[in-house]
Amino acid sequence: MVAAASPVSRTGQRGLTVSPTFLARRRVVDRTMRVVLFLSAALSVLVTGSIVYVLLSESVKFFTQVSIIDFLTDTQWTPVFQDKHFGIMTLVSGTLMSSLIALVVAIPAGTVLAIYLSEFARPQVREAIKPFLELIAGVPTVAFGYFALLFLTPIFQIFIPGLASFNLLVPGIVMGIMILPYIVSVSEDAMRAVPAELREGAYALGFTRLQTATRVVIPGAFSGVTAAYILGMSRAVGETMVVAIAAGQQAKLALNPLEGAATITAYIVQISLGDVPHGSIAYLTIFAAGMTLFLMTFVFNILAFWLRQKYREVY
Amino acid sequence: MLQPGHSENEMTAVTPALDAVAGKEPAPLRAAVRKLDFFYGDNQALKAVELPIVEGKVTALIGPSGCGKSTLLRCFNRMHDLYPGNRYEGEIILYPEGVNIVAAEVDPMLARLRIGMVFQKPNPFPKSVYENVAAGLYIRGIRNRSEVAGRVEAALRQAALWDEVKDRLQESAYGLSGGQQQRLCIARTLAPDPELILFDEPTSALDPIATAKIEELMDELRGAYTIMIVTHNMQQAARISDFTAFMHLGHMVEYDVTSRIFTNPTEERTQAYVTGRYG
Repeated sequence: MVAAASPVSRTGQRGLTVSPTFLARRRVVDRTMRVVLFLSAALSVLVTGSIVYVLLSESVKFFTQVSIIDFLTDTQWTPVFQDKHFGIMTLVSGTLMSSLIALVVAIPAGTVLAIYLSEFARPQVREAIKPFLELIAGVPTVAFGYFALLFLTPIFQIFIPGLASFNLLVPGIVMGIMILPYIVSVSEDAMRAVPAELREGAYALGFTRLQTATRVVIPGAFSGVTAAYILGMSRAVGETMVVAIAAGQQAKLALNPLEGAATITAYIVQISLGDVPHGSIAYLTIFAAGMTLFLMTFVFNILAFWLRQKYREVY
Repeated sequence: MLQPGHSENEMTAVTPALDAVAGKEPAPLRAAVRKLDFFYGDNQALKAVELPIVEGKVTALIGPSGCGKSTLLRCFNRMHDLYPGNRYEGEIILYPEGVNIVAAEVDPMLARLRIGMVFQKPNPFPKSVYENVAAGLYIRGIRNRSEVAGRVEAALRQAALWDEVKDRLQESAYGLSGGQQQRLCIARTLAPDPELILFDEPTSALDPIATAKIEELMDELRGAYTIMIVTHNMQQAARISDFTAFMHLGHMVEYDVTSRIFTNPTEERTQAYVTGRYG
Protein backbone atom coordinates (compact mmCIF):
# COMPACT_ATOMS: atom_id res chain seq x y z
CA MET A 1 0.00 0.00 0.00
CA VAL A 2 1.21 3.47 -0.87
CA ALA A 3 0.31 6.01 1.73
CA ALA A 4 -2.29 8.34 0.24
CA ALA A 5 -1.59 12.07 0.27
CA SER A 6 -3.76 13.98 2.63
CA PRO A 7 -7.12 14.51 0.91
CA VAL A 8 -7.62 17.75 2.77
CA SER A 9 -6.62 20.84 0.76
CA ARG A 10 -5.70 24.32 1.94
CA THR A 11 -9.30 25.41 1.81
CA GLY A 12 -10.12 22.74 4.29
CA GLN A 13 -12.28 20.84 1.83
CA ARG A 14 -11.74 17.25 0.83
CA GLY A 15 -10.36 16.51 -2.63
CA LEU A 16 -7.14 17.08 -4.53
CA THR A 17 -6.05 20.68 -5.00
CA VAL A 18 -5.87 21.84 -8.61
CA SER A 19 -3.72 24.84 -9.53
CA PRO A 20 -5.40 27.78 -11.31
CA THR A 21 -2.88 27.62 -14.21
CA PHE A 22 -3.77 23.99 -14.77
CA LEU A 23 -7.43 24.91 -14.96
CA ALA A 24 -6.68 27.85 -17.28
CA ARG A 25 -4.67 25.64 -19.64
CA ARG A 26 -7.47 23.09 -19.80
CA ARG A 27 -9.88 25.86 -20.65
CA VAL A 28 -7.71 27.22 -23.46
CA VAL A 29 -7.18 23.79 -25.00
CA ASP A 30 -10.89 23.10 -24.79
CA ARG A 31 -11.82 26.36 -26.49
CA THR A 32 -9.18 26.03 -29.22
CA MET A 33 -10.29 22.53 -30.03
CA ARG A 34 -13.87 23.66 -30.23
CA VAL A 35 -12.93 26.26 -32.86
CA VAL A 36 -10.78 23.80 -34.83
CA LEU A 37 -13.53 21.20 -34.86
CA PHE A 38 -16.10 23.77 -35.90
CA LEU A 39 -13.89 24.92 -38.79
CA SER A 40 -13.45 21.41 -40.12
CA ALA A 41 -17.21 20.88 -39.96
CA ALA A 42 -17.74 24.23 -41.68
CA LEU A 43 -15.32 23.27 -44.46
CA SER A 44 -17.54 20.43 -45.67
CA VAL A 45 -20.55 22.75 -45.70
CA LEU A 46 -18.50 25.36 -47.58
CA VAL A 47 -17.41 22.87 -50.25
CA THR A 48 -20.94 21.60 -50.80
CA GLY A 49 -22.22 25.15 -50.82
CA SER A 50 -19.78 26.32 -53.48
CA ILE A 51 -20.52 23.33 -55.71
CA VAL A 52 -24.23 24.09 -55.51
CA TYR A 53 -23.51 27.78 -56.16
CA VAL A 54 -21.51 27.08 -59.33
CA LEU A 55 -24.09 24.61 -60.58
CA LEU A 56 -26.93 26.99 -59.87
CA SER A 57 -25.39 30.15 -61.30
CA GLU A 58 -24.30 28.46 -64.55
CA SER A 59 -27.64 26.68 -64.84
CA VAL A 60 -29.45 29.99 -64.46
CA LYS A 61 -27.47 31.34 -67.43
CA PHE A 62 -28.48 28.25 -69.39
CA PHE A 63 -32.14 28.63 -68.56
CA THR A 64 -32.16 32.27 -69.74
CA GLN A 65 -31.51 30.86 -73.21
CA VAL A 66 -33.50 27.62 -73.12
CA SER A 67 -36.98 27.34 -71.68
CA ILE A 68 -37.37 24.89 -68.85
CA ILE A 69 -40.36 23.35 -70.62
CA ASP A 70 -38.29 22.50 -73.69
CA PHE A 71 -35.60 21.20 -71.37
CA LEU A 72 -38.01 18.79 -69.75
CA THR A 73 -40.17 17.81 -72.75
CA ASP A 74 -37.99 17.84 -75.86
CA THR A 75 -37.04 14.34 -76.99
CA GLN A 76 -33.79 15.32 -78.68
CA TRP A 77 -30.49 16.43 -77.21
CA THR A 78 -28.29 18.11 -79.83
CA PRO A 79 -26.50 21.08 -78.21
CA VAL A 80 -23.49 20.93 -80.54
CA PHE A 81 -25.43 20.56 -83.75
CA GLN A 82 -26.76 23.25 -86.07
CA ASP A 83 -30.34 22.36 -85.15
CA LYS A 84 -30.10 22.61 -81.38
CA HIS A 85 -32.39 20.65 -79.07
CA PHE A 86 -32.13 20.45 -75.30
CA GLY A 87 -34.31 17.54 -74.15
CA ILE A 88 -32.67 16.38 -70.93
CA MET A 89 -35.05 13.42 -70.71
CA THR A 90 -32.89 11.65 -73.31
CA LEU A 91 -29.92 11.69 -70.94
CA VAL A 92 -32.09 11.06 -67.90
CA SER A 93 -33.59 7.99 -69.55
CA GLY A 94 -30.13 6.64 -70.36
CA THR A 95 -29.06 7.19 -66.76
CA LEU A 96 -32.19 5.62 -65.31
CA MET A 97 -32.13 2.65 -67.67
CA SER A 98 -28.51 1.76 -66.91
CA SER A 99 -29.02 2.34 -63.17
CA LEU A 100 -32.14 0.22 -63.18
CA ILE A 101 -30.28 -2.65 -64.80
CA ALA A 102 -27.53 -2.22 -62.21
CA LEU A 103 -30.06 -2.41 -59.38
CA VAL A 104 -31.80 -5.42 -60.87
CA VAL A 105 -28.42 -7.17 -60.66
CA ALA A 106 -27.15 -5.73 -57.39
CA ILE A 107 -30.23 -5.73 -55.14
CA PRO A 108 -31.10 -9.44 -55.27
CA ALA A 109 -27.46 -10.55 -55.32
CA GLY A 110 -26.44 -8.06 -52.64
CA THR A 111 -29.33 -8.88 -50.33
CA VAL A 112 -28.80 -12.62 -50.60
CA LEU A 113 -25.08 -12.21 -50.03
CA ALA A 114 -25.65 -9.94 -47.03
CA ILE A 115 -28.09 -12.44 -45.49
CA TYR A 116 -25.59 -15.22 -46.07
CA LEU A 117 -22.71 -13.29 -44.53
CA SER A 118 -24.71 -12.02 -41.58
CA GLU A 119 -26.82 -15.05 -40.70
CA PHE A 120 -25.36 -18.18 -42.22
CA ALA A 121 -21.62 -17.91 -42.85
CA ARG A 122 -19.24 -19.05 -40.15
CA PRO A 123 -16.88 -16.25 -39.06
CA GLN A 124 -13.95 -17.78 -40.96
CA VAL A 125 -15.95 -17.89 -44.19
CA ARG A 126 -17.15 -14.33 -43.68
CA GLU A 127 -13.64 -13.08 -43.14
CA ALA A 128 -12.53 -14.90 -46.29
CA ILE A 129 -15.27 -13.45 -48.51
CA LYS A 130 -15.20 -9.84 -47.38
CA PRO A 131 -11.74 -8.97 -48.78
CA PHE A 132 -12.92 -10.06 -52.23
CA LEU A 133 -15.86 -7.72 -52.01
CA GLU A 134 -13.59 -4.91 -50.91
CA LEU A 135 -11.37 -5.74 -53.86
CA ILE A 136 -14.30 -5.18 -56.23
CA ALA A 137 -14.86 -1.78 -54.63
CA GLY A 138 -11.18 -0.99 -55.18
CA VAL A 139 -11.04 -1.74 -58.91
CA PRO A 140 -10.74 1.50 -60.94
CA THR A 141 -13.99 2.17 -62.77
CA VAL A 142 -12.14 2.63 -66.05
CA ALA A 143 -11.11 -1.02 -65.81
CA PHE A 144 -14.75 -1.96 -65.38
CA GLY A 145 -15.60 0.15 -68.43
CA TYR A 146 -13.21 -1.71 -70.71
CA PHE A 147 -14.20 -5.00 -69.11
CA ALA A 148 -17.76 -4.25 -70.21
CA LEU A 149 -16.87 -2.99 -73.69
CA LEU A 150 -14.15 -5.40 -74.76
CA PHE A 151 -14.85 -8.55 -72.78
CA LEU A 152 -18.46 -8.90 -71.70
CA THR A 153 -20.21 -7.25 -74.64
CA PRO A 154 -18.68 -9.61 -77.25
CA ILE A 155 -19.65 -12.60 -75.09
CA PHE A 156 -23.19 -11.32 -74.62
CA GLN A 157 -23.45 -10.68 -78.38
CA ILE A 158 -23.10 -14.42 -78.96
CA PHE A 159 -26.27 -15.06 -76.98
CA ILE A 160 -28.22 -11.88 -77.70
CA PRO A 161 -28.16 -11.28 -81.46
CA GLY A 162 -29.55 -7.73 -81.41
CA LEU A 163 -27.01 -6.43 -78.92
CA ALA A 164 -25.13 -3.38 -80.24
CA SER A 165 -21.42 -2.85 -79.50
CA PHE A 166 -22.38 0.13 -77.41
CA ASN A 167 -25.37 -0.76 -75.28
CA LEU A 168 -26.90 -0.09 -71.89
CA LEU A 169 -27.37 -3.70 -70.84
CA VAL A 170 -23.76 -4.72 -70.31
CA PRO A 171 -22.56 -1.51 -68.63
CA GLY A 172 -25.67 -1.76 -66.44
CA ILE A 173 -24.74 -5.27 -65.35
CA VAL A 174 -21.14 -4.26 -64.75
CA MET A 175 -22.29 -1.28 -62.67
CA GLY A 176 -24.42 -3.74 -60.72
CA ILE A 177 -21.29 -5.71 -59.91
CA MET A 178 -19.54 -2.46 -59.01
CA ILE A 179 -22.16 -1.33 -56.51
CA LEU A 180 -22.60 -4.83 -55.07
CA PRO A 181 -19.97 -4.31 -52.34
CA TYR A 182 -21.70 -1.15 -51.11
CA ILE A 183 -25.08 -2.82 -50.93
CA VAL A 184 -23.66 -5.90 -49.24
CA SER A 185 -21.61 -4.05 -46.68
CA VAL A 186 -24.24 -1.48 -45.69
CA SER A 187 -27.08 -3.99 -45.50
CA GLU A 188 -24.94 -6.57 -43.72
CA ASP A 189 -24.01 -3.95 -41.12
CA ALA A 190 -27.68 -3.21 -40.63
CA MET A 191 -28.50 -6.91 -40.26
CA ARG A 192 -25.75 -7.54 -37.79
CA ALA A 193 -26.90 -4.55 -35.76
CA VAL A 194 -30.13 -6.44 -35.07
CA PRO A 195 -29.63 -7.50 -31.45
CA ALA A 196 -28.81 -11.10 -30.58
CA GLU A 197 -31.81 -11.21 -28.20
CA LEU A 198 -34.15 -10.85 -31.17
CA ARG A 199 -32.53 -13.76 -32.97
CA GLU A 200 -32.60 -15.86 -29.81
CA GLY A 201 -36.27 -15.03 -29.37
CA ALA A 202 -36.94 -16.29 -32.88
CA TYR A 203 -34.91 -19.46 -32.48
CA ALA A 204 -36.49 -20.15 -29.09
CA LEU A 205 -39.90 -19.99 -30.76
CA GLY A 206 -38.77 -22.65 -33.22
CA PHE A 207 -37.80 -20.50 -36.20
CA THR A 208 -35.32 -21.99 -38.64
CA ARG A 209 -32.29 -19.98 -39.67
CA LEU A 210 -33.95 -18.85 -42.89
CA GLN A 211 -37.18 -17.93 -41.10
CA THR A 212 -35.17 -15.95 -38.55
CA ALA A 213 -33.38 -14.13 -41.36
CA THR A 214 -36.44 -13.30 -43.42
CA ARG A 215 -39.04 -12.71 -40.68
CA VAL A 216 -37.00 -11.09 -37.93
CA VAL A 217 -33.60 -9.89 -39.11
CA ILE A 218 -34.66 -8.25 -42.38
CA PRO A 219 -37.70 -6.47 -40.88
CA GLY A 220 -35.43 -5.36 -38.05
CA ALA A 221 -32.81 -4.08 -40.47
CA PHE A 222 -35.34 -2.71 -42.95
CA SER A 223 -34.31 0.93 -42.77
CA GLY A 224 -30.63 0.08 -43.12
CA VAL A 225 -31.24 -2.29 -46.00
CA THR A 226 -33.30 0.29 -47.90
CA ALA A 227 -30.62 2.88 -47.22
CA ALA A 228 -28.16 0.44 -48.79
CA TYR A 229 -30.32 0.14 -51.90
CA ILE A 230 -30.62 3.88 -52.25
CA LEU A 231 -26.91 4.37 -51.69
CA GLY A 232 -26.37 1.85 -54.48
CA MET A 233 -28.85 3.73 -56.68
CA SER A 234 -27.03 7.01 -56.06
CA ARG A 235 -23.74 5.39 -56.95
CA ALA A 236 -25.16 3.92 -60.15
CA VAL A 237 -26.75 7.20 -61.22
CA GLY A 238 -23.51 9.09 -60.64
CA GLU A 239 -21.25 6.45 -62.18
CA THR A 240 -19.37 7.85 -65.18
CA MET A 241 -16.55 5.82 -66.67
CA VAL A 242 -18.34 2.54 -67.30
CA VAL A 243 -21.20 4.14 -69.22
CA ALA A 244 -18.96 6.68 -70.94
CA ILE A 245 -16.83 3.85 -72.30
CA ALA A 246 -19.32 1.08 -72.95
CA ALA A 247 -22.72 2.70 -73.50
CA GLY A 248 -21.80 5.06 -76.31
CA GLN A 249 -22.23 8.80 -76.71
CA GLN A 250 -25.48 8.95 -78.62
CA ALA A 251 -28.07 11.01 -76.77
CA LYS A 252 -31.50 9.55 -77.39
CA LEU A 253 -34.46 8.26 -75.42
CA ALA A 254 -33.20 4.98 -74.01
CA LEU A 255 -36.09 2.60 -74.43
CA ASN A 256 -34.14 -0.42 -75.59
CA PRO A 257 -31.30 -1.59 -73.33
CA LEU A 258 -29.75 -3.50 -76.23
CA GLU A 259 -28.84 -0.22 -77.91
CA GLY A 260 -26.40 2.38 -76.69
CA ALA A 261 -27.44 5.71 -75.21
CA ALA A 262 -25.59 8.51 -73.49
CA THR A 263 -26.17 9.05 -69.80
CA ILE A 264 -25.92 12.41 -68.04
CA THR A 265 -22.44 11.64 -66.78
CA ALA A 266 -21.23 10.29 -70.10
CA TYR A 267 -22.47 13.45 -71.81
CA ILE A 268 -20.67 15.69 -69.33
CA VAL A 269 -17.43 13.81 -69.96
CA GLN A 270 -17.90 14.07 -73.70
CA ILE A 271 -18.40 17.84 -73.64
CA SER A 272 -15.68 18.50 -71.07
CA LEU A 273 -13.15 16.62 -73.20
CA GLY A 274 -14.22 18.27 -76.45
CA ASP A 275 -13.35 21.76 -77.68
CA VAL A 276 -16.58 23.51 -76.84
CA PRO A 277 -15.93 27.23 -76.34
CA HIS A 278 -16.15 28.46 -72.77
CA GLY A 279 -19.42 30.29 -72.11
CA SER A 280 -21.21 28.93 -75.17
CA ILE A 281 -24.63 27.33 -74.85
CA ALA A 282 -23.09 23.87 -75.32
CA TYR A 283 -20.72 24.63 -72.48
CA LEU A 284 -23.60 25.70 -70.25
CA THR A 285 -25.46 22.45 -70.93
CA ILE A 286 -23.02 20.51 -68.79
CA PHE A 287 -24.04 22.60 -65.80
CA ALA A 288 -27.71 22.13 -66.49
CA ALA A 289 -27.11 18.41 -66.89
CA GLY A 290 -24.97 18.39 -63.74
CA MET A 291 -27.72 20.21 -61.87
CA THR A 292 -30.22 17.60 -62.99
CA LEU A 293 -27.95 14.83 -61.76
CA PHE A 294 -27.43 16.63 -58.49
CA LEU A 295 -31.18 16.95 -57.99
CA MET A 296 -31.69 13.27 -58.76
CA THR A 297 -29.18 12.06 -56.18
CA PHE A 298 -30.45 14.69 -53.76
CA VAL A 299 -33.96 13.24 -54.04
CA PHE A 300 -32.59 9.75 -53.43
CA ASN A 301 -30.76 10.93 -50.34
CA ILE A 302 -33.89 12.62 -48.99
CA LEU A 303 -35.78 9.42 -49.67
CA ALA A 304 -33.16 7.40 -47.82
CA PHE A 305 -33.26 9.82 -44.91
CA TRP A 306 -37.03 9.69 -44.75
CA LEU A 307 -37.10 5.88 -44.88
CA ARG A 308 -34.52 5.70 -42.13
CA GLN A 309 -36.61 7.96 -39.94
CA LYS A 310 -39.84 6.18 -40.66
CA TYR A 311 -38.69 2.61 -40.25
CA ARG A 312 -35.90 2.94 -37.76
CA GLU A 313 -36.41 0.41 -35.01
CA VAL A 314 -35.49 1.23 -31.46
CA TYR A 315 -34.95 -2.21 -30.04
CA MET B 1 -15.78 -19.32 3.18
CA LEU B 2 -17.70 -21.60 0.92
CA GLN B 3 -15.95 -24.30 -1.03
CA PRO B 4 -17.20 -25.62 -4.38
CA GLY B 5 -19.31 -28.65 -3.73
CA HIS B 6 -18.49 -31.89 -5.44
CA SER B 7 -20.63 -34.63 -3.96
CA GLU B 8 -22.14 -36.78 -6.72
CA ASN B 9 -25.28 -37.73 -4.83
CA GLU B 10 -26.56 -34.36 -3.82
CA MET B 11 -29.97 -35.16 -5.25
CA THR B 12 -30.82 -38.23 -3.21
CA ALA B 13 -33.33 -36.34 -1.11
CA VAL B 14 -35.39 -35.40 -4.17
CA THR B 15 -38.10 -38.02 -4.27
CA PRO B 16 -39.39 -37.53 -0.71
CA ALA B 17 -39.63 -33.82 -1.41
CA LEU B 18 -41.79 -34.43 -4.43
CA ASP B 19 -43.94 -36.98 -2.69
CA ALA B 20 -44.56 -34.56 0.10
CA VAL B 21 -46.07 -32.06 -2.30
CA ALA B 22 -47.91 -34.47 -4.53
CA GLY B 23 -49.43 -36.47 -1.70
CA LYS B 24 -48.26 -40.06 -1.45
CA GLU B 25 -48.09 -40.60 -5.20
CA PRO B 26 -44.77 -39.94 -6.92
CA ALA B 27 -45.01 -36.54 -8.63
CA PRO B 28 -45.48 -36.77 -12.40
CA LEU B 29 -42.44 -35.35 -14.16
CA ARG B 30 -42.45 -33.13 -17.24
CA ALA B 31 -38.69 -33.39 -17.57
CA ALA B 32 -35.65 -34.64 -15.72
CA VAL B 33 -32.02 -33.58 -15.88
CA ARG B 34 -29.68 -36.52 -15.40
CA LYS B 35 -25.95 -36.19 -14.84
CA LEU B 36 -25.78 -33.21 -17.17
CA ASP B 37 -22.39 -31.71 -17.93
CA PHE B 38 -22.15 -28.66 -20.12
CA PHE B 39 -19.04 -27.10 -21.63
CA TYR B 40 -18.42 -23.67 -23.11
CA GLY B 41 -15.40 -24.78 -25.12
CA ASP B 42 -13.02 -26.14 -22.48
CA ASN B 43 -14.81 -24.41 -19.65
CA GLN B 44 -17.17 -26.73 -17.80
CA ALA B 45 -20.17 -24.72 -16.68
CA LEU B 46 -22.43 -27.51 -15.43
CA LYS B 47 -21.18 -30.45 -13.42
CA ALA B 48 -23.26 -33.62 -13.13
CA VAL B 49 -26.46 -31.67 -12.60
CA GLU B 50 -29.58 -33.57 -11.55
CA LEU B 51 -32.99 -31.93 -11.47
CA PRO B 52 -36.60 -33.11 -11.77
CA ILE B 53 -39.16 -30.78 -13.34
CA VAL B 54 -42.59 -31.54 -11.93
CA GLU B 55 -45.59 -31.32 -14.24
CA GLY B 56 -47.76 -28.25 -13.74
CA LYS B 57 -45.49 -26.72 -11.11
CA VAL B 58 -43.11 -23.77 -11.00
CA THR B 59 -39.49 -24.69 -10.44
CA ALA B 60 -37.16 -21.82 -9.54
CA LEU B 61 -33.41 -21.87 -10.14
CA ILE B 62 -31.48 -19.66 -7.75
CA GLY B 63 -27.83 -19.10 -7.01
CA PRO B 64 -25.11 -16.47 -7.21
CA SER B 65 -24.02 -14.99 -10.56
CA GLY B 66 -22.05 -17.47 -12.64
CA CYS B 67 -23.47 -20.51 -10.82
CA GLY B 68 -24.82 -21.95 -14.08
CA LYS B 69 -28.54 -21.45 -13.56
CA SER B 70 -29.10 -19.59 -16.84
CA THR B 71 -26.76 -22.03 -18.58
CA LEU B 72 -28.89 -24.90 -17.31
CA LEU B 73 -32.10 -23.19 -18.39
CA ARG B 74 -30.73 -22.58 -21.89
CA CYS B 75 -29.84 -26.27 -22.22
CA PHE B 76 -33.56 -27.10 -22.21
CA ASN B 77 -34.19 -25.44 -25.58
CA ARG B 78 -30.69 -25.98 -26.94
CA MET B 79 -29.94 -22.25 -27.14
CA HIS B 80 -26.28 -23.09 -26.72
CA ASP B 81 -26.34 -24.71 -30.15
CA LEU B 82 -26.55 -21.24 -31.72
CA TYR B 83 -22.94 -20.59 -30.81
CA PRO B 84 -19.95 -22.70 -31.78
CA GLY B 85 -17.84 -24.74 -29.38
CA ASN B 86 -20.54 -25.69 -26.87
CA ARG B 87 -21.06 -29.29 -25.80
CA TYR B 88 -23.57 -31.25 -23.73
CA GLU B 89 -22.95 -34.53 -21.94
CA GLY B 90 -25.62 -36.36 -20.03
CA GLU B 91 -29.36 -36.15 -20.42
CA ILE B 92 -32.37 -33.91 -20.24
CA ILE B 93 -35.29 -36.28 -20.59
CA LEU B 94 -38.53 -34.81 -21.83
CA TYR B 95 -41.62 -36.79 -20.84
CA PRO B 96 -44.02 -38.43 -21.63
CA GLU B 97 -42.01 -40.24 -24.31
CA GLY B 98 -38.67 -39.90 -22.56
CA VAL B 99 -36.58 -38.42 -25.36
CA ASN B 100 -33.16 -37.02 -24.45
CA ILE B 101 -33.37 -33.51 -25.92
CA VAL B 102 -29.67 -32.72 -25.54
CA ALA B 103 -28.54 -35.80 -27.43
CA ALA B 104 -26.37 -34.86 -30.41
CA GLU B 105 -28.59 -36.74 -32.85
CA VAL B 106 -31.74 -34.92 -31.69
CA ASP B 107 -32.64 -31.84 -33.72
CA PRO B 108 -32.53 -28.72 -31.48
CA MET B 109 -35.78 -27.72 -33.20
CA LEU B 110 -37.55 -30.57 -31.42
CA ALA B 111 -36.87 -28.95 -28.08
CA ARG B 112 -37.61 -25.43 -29.31
CA LEU B 113 -40.93 -26.34 -30.88
CA ARG B 114 -42.09 -27.95 -27.62
CA ILE B 115 -40.45 -25.73 -25.02
CA GLY B 116 -41.05 -21.98 -24.93
CA MET B 117 -38.77 -19.31 -23.52
CA VAL B 118 -39.13 -15.80 -22.12
CA PHE B 119 -35.97 -13.75 -21.93
CA GLN B 120 -34.43 -11.23 -19.55
CA LYS B 121 -35.04 -8.25 -21.78
CA PRO B 122 -38.35 -8.03 -23.60
CA ASN B 123 -37.53 -8.95 -27.19
CA PRO B 124 -40.62 -8.54 -29.35
CA PHE B 125 -40.04 -8.84 -33.09
CA PRO B 126 -40.10 -5.70 -35.26
CA LYS B 127 -43.68 -6.43 -36.25
CA SER B 128 -47.19 -5.63 -35.09
CA VAL B 129 -48.55 -6.83 -31.76
CA TYR B 130 -50.73 -9.36 -33.58
CA GLU B 131 -47.92 -10.65 -35.79
CA ASN B 132 -45.70 -11.13 -32.75
CA VAL B 133 -48.16 -13.51 -31.13
CA ALA B 134 -49.03 -15.20 -34.42
CA ALA B 135 -45.36 -15.77 -35.37
CA GLY B 136 -45.04 -19.05 -33.49
CA LEU B 137 -48.31 -20.29 -34.98
CA TYR B 138 -47.33 -19.47 -38.56
CA ILE B 139 -44.08 -21.38 -38.36
CA ARG B 140 -45.94 -24.39 -36.98
CA GLY B 141 -48.00 -24.39 -40.16
CA ILE B 142 -51.17 -22.89 -38.65
CA ARG B 143 -52.44 -20.66 -41.45
CA ASN B 144 -56.20 -20.65 -41.02
CA ARG B 145 -57.02 -17.02 -40.31
CA SER B 146 -59.78 -17.55 -37.81
CA GLU B 147 -57.83 -20.20 -35.94
CA VAL B 148 -54.79 -17.92 -35.73
CA ALA B 149 -56.95 -15.00 -34.61
CA GLY B 150 -58.59 -17.14 -31.93
CA ARG B 151 -55.30 -18.41 -30.57
CA VAL B 152 -53.75 -14.94 -30.63
CA GLU B 153 -56.63 -13.54 -28.62
CA ALA B 154 -56.54 -16.46 -26.18
CA ALA B 155 -52.78 -16.06 -25.66
CA LEU B 156 -53.10 -12.30 -25.14
CA ARG B 157 -55.88 -12.86 -22.62
CA GLN B 158 -53.80 -15.46 -20.78
CA ALA B 159 -50.93 -12.99 -20.68
CA ALA B 160 -53.28 -10.36 -19.20
CA LEU B 161 -52.56 -8.06 -22.12
CA TRP B 162 -55.68 -8.32 -24.25
CA ASP B 163 -57.56 -5.38 -22.75
CA GLU B 164 -54.56 -3.11 -23.16
CA VAL B 165 -53.78 -4.00 -26.78
CA LYS B 166 -57.06 -5.10 -28.37
CA ASP B 167 -57.43 -1.74 -30.12
CA ARG B 168 -53.86 -1.59 -31.31
CA LEU B 169 -53.19 -5.11 -32.54
CA GLN B 170 -51.88 -3.83 -35.86
CA GLU B 171 -49.51 -1.29 -34.33
CA SER B 172 -45.81 -1.92 -33.84
CA ALA B 173 -44.92 -3.90 -30.74
CA TYR B 174 -42.26 -1.30 -29.98
CA GLY B 175 -44.99 1.19 -29.09
CA LEU B 176 -45.77 -0.81 -25.94
CA SER B 177 -44.18 -0.16 -22.55
CA GLY B 178 -41.44 -2.46 -21.27
CA GLY B 179 -43.81 -4.41 -19.04
CA GLN B 180 -46.35 -4.75 -21.85
CA GLN B 181 -43.61 -5.90 -24.21
CA GLN B 182 -42.61 -8.58 -21.74
CA ARG B 183 -46.22 -9.76 -21.39
CA LEU B 184 -46.39 -9.75 -25.20
CA CYS B 185 -43.35 -12.03 -25.24
CA ILE B 186 -45.13 -14.27 -22.74
CA ALA B 187 -48.22 -14.31 -24.98
CA ARG B 188 -46.00 -15.14 -27.95
CA THR B 189 -44.59 -18.05 -25.98
CA LEU B 190 -48.02 -19.27 -24.79
CA ALA B 191 -49.69 -19.15 -28.21
CA PRO B 192 -48.23 -22.45 -29.51
CA ASP B 193 -49.15 -24.13 -26.19
CA PRO B 194 -45.67 -25.19 -25.00
CA GLU B 195 -45.10 -28.22 -22.80
CA LEU B 196 -42.62 -26.33 -20.66
CA ILE B 197 -41.88 -22.61 -20.38
CA LEU B 198 -38.46 -21.28 -19.48
CA PHE B 199 -38.28 -17.87 -17.84
CA ASP B 200 -34.79 -16.39 -17.75
CA GLU B 201 -34.94 -13.59 -15.15
CA PRO B 202 -38.09 -12.25 -16.82
CA THR B 203 -38.45 -9.23 -14.55
CA SER B 204 -34.86 -8.08 -14.19
CA ALA B 205 -35.33 -5.30 -16.78
CA LEU B 206 -38.71 -4.16 -15.41
CA ASP B 207 -39.87 -1.70 -12.77
CA PRO B 208 -41.60 -2.98 -9.59
CA ILE B 209 -45.15 -2.46 -10.88
CA ALA B 210 -44.48 -4.30 -14.15
CA THR B 211 -42.69 -6.97 -12.13
CA ALA B 212 -45.70 -7.44 -9.89
CA LYS B 213 -47.92 -7.91 -12.95
CA ILE B 214 -45.62 -10.54 -14.41
CA GLU B 215 -45.49 -12.40 -11.09
CA GLU B 216 -49.25 -12.30 -10.82
CA LEU B 217 -49.45 -13.64 -14.35
CA MET B 218 -47.05 -16.49 -13.60
CA ASP B 219 -49.14 -17.38 -10.60
CA GLU B 220 -52.16 -17.69 -12.89
CA LEU B 221 -50.23 -19.84 -15.33
CA ARG B 222 -49.21 -22.20 -12.57
CA GLY B 223 -50.99 -25.52 -12.92
CA ALA B 224 -51.89 -24.95 -16.57
CA TYR B 225 -48.24 -24.88 -17.58
CA THR B 226 -45.02 -26.36 -16.34
CA ILE B 227 -42.65 -23.50 -15.63
CA MET B 228 -38.96 -23.07 -14.88
CA ILE B 229 -37.71 -19.69 -13.78
CA VAL B 230 -34.22 -18.36 -13.19
CA THR B 231 -34.23 -15.47 -10.79
CA HIS B 232 -31.84 -13.36 -8.79
CA ASN B 233 -34.66 -12.19 -6.63
CA MET B 234 -35.10 -14.49 -3.67
CA GLN B 235 -38.46 -13.05 -2.66
CA GLN B 236 -39.64 -13.72 -6.19
CA ALA B 237 -38.54 -17.34 -6.02
CA ALA B 238 -40.23 -17.71 -2.64
CA ARG B 239 -43.46 -16.08 -3.86
CA ILE B 240 -44.03 -17.82 -7.15
CA SER B 241 -42.34 -21.22 -7.12
CA ASP B 242 -43.35 -24.63 -5.83
CA PHE B 243 -39.86 -26.07 -5.95
CA THR B 244 -36.52 -24.36 -5.72
CA ALA B 245 -33.13 -25.55 -6.86
CA PHE B 246 -30.03 -23.87 -5.49
CA MET B 247 -26.97 -23.96 -7.72
CA HIS B 248 -23.42 -23.01 -6.98
CA LEU B 249 -20.35 -23.10 -9.24
CA GLY B 250 -22.00 -25.41 -11.75
CA HIS B 251 -23.26 -27.87 -9.14
CA MET B 252 -26.82 -28.56 -8.11
CA VAL B 253 -26.43 -28.05 -4.39
CA GLU B 254 -29.96 -28.56 -3.18
CA TYR B 255 -33.43 -29.10 -4.55
CA ASP B 256 -36.53 -29.11 -2.44
CA VAL B 257 -39.97 -27.75 -1.87
CA THR B 258 -39.62 -23.97 -1.96
CA SER B 259 -40.80 -23.39 1.59
CA ARG B 260 -38.20 -25.79 2.92
CA ILE B 261 -35.38 -24.23 0.89
CA PHE B 262 -36.15 -20.86 2.36
CA THR B 263 -36.85 -21.92 5.93
CA ASN B 264 -34.98 -25.08 6.66
CA PRO B 265 -32.45 -26.05 3.96
CA THR B 266 -30.28 -29.10 4.40
CA GLU B 267 -27.10 -27.63 2.97
CA GLU B 268 -25.15 -24.94 4.75
CA ARG B 269 -24.40 -23.15 1.44
CA THR B 270 -28.10 -22.91 0.66
CA GLN B 271 -28.72 -21.49 4.11
CA ALA B 272 -25.96 -18.94 3.61
CA TYR B 273 -27.33 -17.87 0.22
CA VAL B 274 -31.01 -17.61 1.07
CA THR B 275 -30.30 -15.64 4.22
CA GLY B 276 -28.17 -13.20 2.24
CA ARG B 277 -24.88 -14.07 3.88
CA TYR B 278 -23.51 -15.14 0.52
CA GLY B 279 -23.88 -14.09 -3.13
